[in-house]
Amino acid sequence: MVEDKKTILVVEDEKPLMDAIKKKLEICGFYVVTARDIKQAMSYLEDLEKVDLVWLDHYLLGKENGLDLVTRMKNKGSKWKDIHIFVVSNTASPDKVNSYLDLGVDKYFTKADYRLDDIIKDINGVLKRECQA
Amino acid sequence: MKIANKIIIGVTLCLVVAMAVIGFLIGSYSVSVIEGKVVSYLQSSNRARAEHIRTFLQSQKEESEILSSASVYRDFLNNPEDASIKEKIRKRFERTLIDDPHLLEMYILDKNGKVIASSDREEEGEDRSDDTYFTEGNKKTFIKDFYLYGEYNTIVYAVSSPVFNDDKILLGVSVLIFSPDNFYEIVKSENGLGSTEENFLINKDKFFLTPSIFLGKNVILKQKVETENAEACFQKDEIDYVTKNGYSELEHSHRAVYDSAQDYRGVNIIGTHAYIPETNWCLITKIDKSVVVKDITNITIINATILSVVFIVLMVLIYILINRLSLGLKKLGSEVAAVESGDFDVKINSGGNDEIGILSKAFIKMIAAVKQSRAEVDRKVEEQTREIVEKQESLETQQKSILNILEDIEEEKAKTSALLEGIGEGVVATDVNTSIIYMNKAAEDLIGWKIEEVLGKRLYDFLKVLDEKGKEIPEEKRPFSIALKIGKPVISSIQNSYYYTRRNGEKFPVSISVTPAMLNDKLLGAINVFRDITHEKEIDKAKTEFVSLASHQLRTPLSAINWYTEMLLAGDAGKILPEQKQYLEEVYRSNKRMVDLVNSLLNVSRIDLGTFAITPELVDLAEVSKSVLVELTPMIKTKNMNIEENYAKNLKKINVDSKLTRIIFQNLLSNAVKYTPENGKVSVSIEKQNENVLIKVADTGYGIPKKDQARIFEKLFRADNIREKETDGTGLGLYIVKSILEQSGGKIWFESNDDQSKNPGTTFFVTIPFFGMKAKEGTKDLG
Repeated sequence: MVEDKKTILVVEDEKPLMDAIKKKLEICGFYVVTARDIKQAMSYLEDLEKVDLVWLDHYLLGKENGLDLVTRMKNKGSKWKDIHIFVVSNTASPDKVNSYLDLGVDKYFTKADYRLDDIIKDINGVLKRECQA
Repeated sequence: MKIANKIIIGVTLCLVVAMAVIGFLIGSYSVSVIEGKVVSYLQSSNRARAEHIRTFLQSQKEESEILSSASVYRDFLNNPEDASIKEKIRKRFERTLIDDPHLLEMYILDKNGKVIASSDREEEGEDRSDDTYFTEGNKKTFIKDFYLYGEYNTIVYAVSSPVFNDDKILLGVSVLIFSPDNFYEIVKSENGLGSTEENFLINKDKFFLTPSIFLGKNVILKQKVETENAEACFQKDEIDYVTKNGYSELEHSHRAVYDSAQDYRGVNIIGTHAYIPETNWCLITKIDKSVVVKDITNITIINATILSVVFIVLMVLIYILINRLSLGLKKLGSEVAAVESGDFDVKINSGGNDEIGILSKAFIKMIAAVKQSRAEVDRKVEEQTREIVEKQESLETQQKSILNILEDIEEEKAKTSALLEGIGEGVVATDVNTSIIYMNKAAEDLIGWKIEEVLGKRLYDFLKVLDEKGKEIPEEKRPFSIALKIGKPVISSIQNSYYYTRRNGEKFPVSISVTPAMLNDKLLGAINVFRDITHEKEIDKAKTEFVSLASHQLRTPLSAINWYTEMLLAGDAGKILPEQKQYLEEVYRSNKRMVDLVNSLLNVSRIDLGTFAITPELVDLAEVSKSVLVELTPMIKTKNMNIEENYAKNLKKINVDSKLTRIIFQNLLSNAVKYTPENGKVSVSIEKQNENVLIKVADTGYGIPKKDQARIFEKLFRADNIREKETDGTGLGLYIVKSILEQSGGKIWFESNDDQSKNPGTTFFVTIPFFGMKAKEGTKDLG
């Protein structure tokens, strides 16, 4: 059933949060890769055969932030255009939220206000699957 | 002044004027009469003499002609050698000379001008053909003007006539030599006008022909008369006129009278003249002006004397008359004075049937009337005097007590003034037109103006009021204007404070409290108590920035706690015991509260910094309310609450910011549920009201104590009663709701009763404009 597993790229700079996200997603039956900066994230996107969804934080290690990644992914002629993107961040200024939504991300969550379960429920909804615990 | 004196003065003045006029008229009339008389006398005298001279000259000419036409003259001239004829001629000479004493000599000249016969035989044989009496006299009768004759230079004149035969052929010339005494006689003055009257003749060369009464005979043919009369006499037109008309027209200008002219002596005279055509002479008649003037002066003195006497007599008569008249008036006057001094019984009996009598009778009637009313008045006055005395006594008592009160007031005023001056905060009082009426020391120090400089000036003429952003607030929106308009106090908060400008232009934030001052329901003005809150503002800003940063930083670890607890509870790290689960749930709940608190603090700091945005979109308010109630379901169920929802059906979606609207509902509904005891009731309704949408959230809860009601919208404030009952709560909810509504055009208020014995509970009312919230740019969302 390995080939059935959906792949999620989690881009999060805070190690404890990243670990929690990874653990929870894996429990639900996802194949999870993690990156702490854009460079790392881009190389996963290049290397991996298929990524179904990107879990993205705004502030990351390095100079680039989440918006830079989304911009590249949604670029005209990009092969990652159709990959779902969930932005999960604590930095919720309206212009940023709007920038993400305008670029075509699926959802925007404020970390502290949502349970992991709630976010995963929405991911399952988008990917039309259920947790395979 | 007495009437008598007035009349006397008046009459005297009239008389003086009248006398002066009469005196002047008489004077000028006398002068003109005298002068007229003098002039007319001079003229007639002059004319008479001139006529006399002409007649006399004519008679001498006739005499000469008669003599020359005598046959003996012809015979003699035809036969000059005939001795008998010559003897006849001599006899004739002798006779004629005896007849006329003024005739001095007689000659007969032959046609060649040689003397052939003479009364003075020595002259016979002399040639006189050059003499004018021959050259003129051989044509017609000729009068030779005065000349000096003989060895003694005797003054004489000659009359000569031609002697013709029957064929009118000249035979010779008869010559008569006369002494001028005749003329002296004719012109001699009669002294009718005194010793200065003088007549004299002058010849055409203006030499005297007759003596001057002042200079004697020596002037004859020796002295010239160069006067105005002499000049005028020989004017050509004068000569022509007199030759033709004689002296018939006395008033004719050629016979002008020269008044105040000067005579040959240089003395002022009045003079006239007459031309004598026969001899080319002029007769001048004159009199010294001083004589006439003297006469006039005499007459004037006489006139003045007469007038003075008349004046004095008249004055005496008038004085007597007036005294008699005023006697009656004086008597009446003294009677009236008696009445005036209170003697109403005096007898009035002045005057008879004249005006004074009538006056007296009228006065008698008046006294009767006055007497009657006086009695009445006396009675009233007595009564009133009594009252006045009573009133005065009571007034004196009142005055004393008022003075005491005034003293107290003065003392009180000084105290009040000292108190106001001593207040550490600025105090400014204005009248209803915002004109300064008071300012204390602290206010002076704060704004930099002295009370003496601004007293009576309008506050906002020298004090700029700015808002948080440094923009000048329009006058009608300034605290004084608002307070005076609405009649309620205007109080600023630290978050929404005003800025004043000092005299030097420096801005500083102020906390103000403007209170309208009322006296007996009448607006007197407003009093502002204010202080500089620069320091407080700085602290507040630092605090807000800190909270914002802290909130951000706090969220990350809170998220970690959240998610790990969630995973532990979910058994992701292995199965947990029930007691462990209970503890973890507590951790989770507390963390959740922490997240809420951080979120609220973040919102508050955004509100305070003014950085939150309002983005209106079409929202169904009922949907928002319902979804919030769903979120609250666990608590509602736990407390077994009754929820009542009433949403008006005609409500459409309105243009509001969905997140902010959600915050409003979340706070109001969660407060209602939270602060209502178990089994209580919460009702929510949304309806349209005029131009607004009205949201009502009512509960049957604990209510807000009266003393806390004014502070309920303050940041971090929680009422005492609920702090004990519910530890859960930040004191930020209502502050956020009010801030959102204030900035988006809405309003919030409430009614509350914390008396548990009768219908306790709270109802919050919120209005949002029907056309929606006002959009606002911002950098942060509330969430």
